[in-house]
Order: sequence, then C-alpha cells, then structure tokens
Amino acid sequence: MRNFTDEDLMREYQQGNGAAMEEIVRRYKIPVFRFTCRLCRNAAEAEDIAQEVFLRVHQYRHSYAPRGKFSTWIFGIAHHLFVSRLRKQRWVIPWPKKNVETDEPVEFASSEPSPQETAANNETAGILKQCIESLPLLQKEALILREFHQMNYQEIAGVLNQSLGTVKTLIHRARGALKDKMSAIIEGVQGGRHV
Amino acid sequence: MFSRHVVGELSCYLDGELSEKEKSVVETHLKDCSACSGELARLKILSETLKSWQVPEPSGAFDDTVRDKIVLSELERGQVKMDRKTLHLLVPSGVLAGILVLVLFSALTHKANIQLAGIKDERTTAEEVSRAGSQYAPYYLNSGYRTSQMNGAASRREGYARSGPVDLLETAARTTDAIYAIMDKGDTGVAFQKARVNADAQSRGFSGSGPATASALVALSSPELPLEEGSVIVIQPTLPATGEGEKIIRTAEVRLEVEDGREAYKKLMAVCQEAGGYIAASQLNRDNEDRAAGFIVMRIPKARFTEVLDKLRDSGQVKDINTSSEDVGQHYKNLKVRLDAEMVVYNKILEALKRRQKTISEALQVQSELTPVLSRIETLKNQLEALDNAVSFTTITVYFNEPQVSAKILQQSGRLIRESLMATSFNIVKFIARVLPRAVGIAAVLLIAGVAGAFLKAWIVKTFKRD
Repeated sequence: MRNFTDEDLMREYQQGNGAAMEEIVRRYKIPVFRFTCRLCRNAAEAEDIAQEVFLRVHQYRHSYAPRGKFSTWIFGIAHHLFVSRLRKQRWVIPWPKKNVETDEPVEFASSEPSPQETAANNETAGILKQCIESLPLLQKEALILREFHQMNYQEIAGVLNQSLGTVKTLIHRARGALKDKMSAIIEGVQGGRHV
Repeated sequence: MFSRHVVGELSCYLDGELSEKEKSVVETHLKDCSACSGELARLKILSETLKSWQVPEPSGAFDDTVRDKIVLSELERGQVKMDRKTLHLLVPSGVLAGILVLVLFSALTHKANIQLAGIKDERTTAEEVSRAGSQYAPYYLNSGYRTSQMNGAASRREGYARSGPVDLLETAARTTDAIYAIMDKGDTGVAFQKARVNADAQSRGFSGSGPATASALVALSSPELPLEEGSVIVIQPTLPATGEGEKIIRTAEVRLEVEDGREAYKKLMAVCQEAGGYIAASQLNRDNEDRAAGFIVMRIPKARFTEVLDKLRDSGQVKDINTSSEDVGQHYKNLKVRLDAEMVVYNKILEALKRRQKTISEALQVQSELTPVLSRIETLKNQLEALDNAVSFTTITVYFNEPQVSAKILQQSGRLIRESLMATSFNIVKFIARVLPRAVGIAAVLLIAGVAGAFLKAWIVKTFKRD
C-alpha cells in the first residue's frame, strides 16, 4: 500500500479495500490537520474538521474521479468544511441592538483575541499568527497552501475553486499585507543581515 | 515586457510561476533596480519568517476517532445492527458511576472459597496484574460469587488495597464487610451494590512473600443477588443527559465609568445574583489617588444575558462593549458521535465477553480492553458537560473605574465656586455699605464747602469791585 499512488489508493478503497483508507489517513492526517490548524483558532476545532475531512472522503469515495491530484481534492474538502463552519459562526447577537456611541445596529463576528492575549503574544510567531489571522479568508488560505504545503498556483486554484489569475492576486496581496504588518520584524532581520 | 518596476510580479517570480521569458525579464530588471531587489529580499525574509509558525501535531486518538466516525456513519445508514435498547438504558441524568468491575465465576465451585497464597493460579494472576502496572498492591479474593446478569463466565472479585499490610488482609479475610471496606478504601473505583453476604471465611494463612501473593478465602452467598453458574458482574457507565438546541458560547466585556467604585461593585454583585448567576472572579482596589477600580466576572444563565447587559447601563457610564459568540454545535455533535461510537465499541466487547472462554488471562484481557474504553467515555462525558456548562452560562466581564475628574467633584467644585462668588459679592456689598455713608458725608461736606466757597468768592468779587 505504501508504494501506491494516492489515486491508486482511492481506487482500491472504492473497491472496498479498507487498508487503502488507513494508508490515506496515514499520509494526509498531518498535512490536513496542519492546514485546518492554521485556519482555526484552536487545535480541538482543527482536529474536528480534519477528522470530518476523512469521513467525507469515505462518504464520497465513489464520487471521486482522478481528474486532478488527490491532494487537491482532499484539501478542497477541508476548505469547504472550514468555510461552512465559519458561516455558522457569523450571526447577529440580539444585544446590544445599537452601538452606544453611534446608535447604529451592531454585528459581531467570532471571538477575536483579547488585548491581553495580544499583549502576551509578543514573540514573532505570535505576531505572525495574528497577522495571518487578520487576512481575508481566501488570501489566508492561498498563502498557507503556498507557503506551508508547497502547492503550485494551479493546485491552489483547484482547492479554492478560483481561477489562476485570482490565486496570483490573492497571494500577492496576502504577502503585501503581511509585509506591511510585519515591517518591523522584516526590517530587523534585514538590518541584521546587512551587518 | 515589464517596462516599469516588477514589484507586482515578484510573488510569482519567488514561487517559480513565471514563464522562462518573464523570468528572464524580471531577473534583468532586478540587476539594475535596487527598489525591486530590496522588495524581493523582503519577500524572501517574510517567507522564511512564516516558517517559524509551528502548529501542534494531531492527538493520538485521531485515527481511532476517524474509524469510529466511519463506523457510526455506516451504522446510521443501517449497515451495522446494534442494540438500541442498551443505549437507551444508559442515559440517565447524573454522574458517571465508576470504573468497570469484572467478576469471574469459578465453574467448579458452588460455594464461595477464599484461597490463600500457595495456589499457583492466583499467584500467577497476581504477578500478571502486577506486571500490568497496577498502582495498587492487589489482594485477590477468589470467590464463587455469582450474579444473574450474565452467564457463561467465571466470576472473580479482585480487591485492591493501597499497599496494605498483611494483617489488614487477614482481618478482611474474616468478614465480608471488612473486605468491602478494604476494596472501598483501596479506591478500586468500583461502584457496586453491596449485597448482604454471609461470610464463611476460612483464612489459611499467608505466603508471607508480600501482598502480591496474598489472598483470602471467603465463602459468600448473596440472597439479594440470585446467583447462577458462570455469571459475570459488569458495571455499566452512566452517560450525561445532553441537552438539545443551539450550542453557542456567549461572552461579553463591558467597561464602565462609575462615580463610586465601591457602590458600583455592590450593585454589580446584586445584578448578578438577581439574574440567578454567580461570580466567577472579582477584584476591587484603589489607586494612589484613592480612585476605586476593579472587575467582576459573572456567569449568567443564557436566558438572562440580554437583560443583564441592559441593567449594566444603569450601573455607570458605558465606555466600551465587546460581545462575542462561538458556535460549538459541531464540536458538541462530534463529541456525541465519538461518545456513541465508544459505547458501540464497549457493547461489542461485552458481547465478545459472553462468547469467550472463562480463563483468567482472557478475563484480564477483556478487562484491559474495556478499561481504556471506559476511560475515553469518561473523558468525552466530561468534555460534553463542560461544553454544556459553558453554553448554559454566559460570561460577562465588567471592568469599572472612577474617572480622572469625577462629576461629583466637578459639581462640588462648581458649588464651591458659586459660594465663593456669592460670598465675595456679599463682602463687596458690605464694604460699600460701610464706606458709602462716610463717602456721602464727605461728599456732602465737600459740596457744602464748595457752595460756600462759591458764595464767598462772589461776595468778595462784588465787594472789591464796588470799591
């Protein structure tokens, strides 16, 4: 099984070979979990979504056709599940009905890190994490798939169901935004290198 | 191709997504353009910095949970049959009862015997379990104890005591109550219904080689639990009553400016209590300028969340409000799925127990399989209960402080200023009242003198003019 390609494994699994699914889980458990972990705010939620991904692989195994890479398909499932989860979390809270200062209706998103958490995460990784979390969702996903999963733009387009041109723009903007937010860190590193 | 700067293409260049021709043009430009070169260097540093973002590994139970979810998915599709009655019986409200007790029943004896050390099987068994890493020194009571719950397996009660001395076991061997006491003291974790038993203890002495080899002989009969040959007692775990409906954790953070910190503190406590909530944390202190400040963390029943937030407006001037919500419904559902899957596994192991041979090593093996399952069930149950608590009670954190310049002080200052002005006005009037008569007198005298002087002058002029 270890020598099978991903597509061969799915073919085996479609024919009822349970060992093929175990091999698929073994290969993709960590990459899928790392992807969801970088999108979610906590590891427990990320693990839930990652487990759900493999359940969907099982449920939709017969609808899988090896048109593209298997990795594109499975990461696409992860993307779809995360977006669905996110949609359920964004809704209007009954109170306060109006902003006390402007008298306008208020909508609240999911919990943001508190100022205390922000102050506590002064190390580079903490700042980095917060900067990435502040990116729009598609930019964040495109950047994560490129930087941490070494997918090419075509594959990323397949995962996110976007065009190639859109992916180029997403990554360019994501890097631009991060570069501005982390300018202090980048300048510091650059200055150290010049010395 | 790129007549101007190539900043817009640097991302693609860095990722190797340019064609050979485009790449060549960019590289040519970079040789002569320090701005674009600097930008590329910054992008490379950014990319390297991104690598420092490490994430944890998935938990050890990941694979098992995926498998359980798939099994449950097939269950729900009707591919696997299971006894739903068992699940329905296992959902009372309350607390998880304890861990599993597995009793093997000796097929050869109808009367309860307690055998002391020297019997090879018990010694072997004791050593096996000791090797299994039990934290307790095991004392084995081999009894012909029977139950009607399950048939087909030998029953055996294993007692554990915390490194008890041999004399304690000796005492226990004589009375069944003491045996129960030892088992309870030894914190076996077993919750079982105590049956009245008539002990017919025959202690044969001890091997003297330590608790691992000691055992006692007790004859038991249990009128309350009718016994049959080859019964097994198994304690079923009780599951929490899990509520339906939305699962949303709500939190709010409110900042208030108050005139009197202490009064505000008391008022907020009262608001919390009136709403049926409780205080999770609180603090009240004074700064160097004697201004009070503090915070209160309230847990409020979710139905009263909005009402309490409304009442907070009456407690002071609202400076800032942040509310948030987290939908944990999917996580809750997943935990339930996992719990259900664990129960399926648990029941299947029980079914396997029925069919297995009643040897000691197999019984121990079944016990060792069941114990981690129960442990996982307990963990999942605790997680569900924690989520239920977090959902049922919202968290409102209220930070309050007295302002830099209090309105009361301003009011007092204003009053002081008004009083001062009035006092000053009175003083001026008094001064004028004192001075005015004198001034009028002097003015009158001066007037009279002036008039007299004028007449005198006129008379002098007239007199000298005649001459």
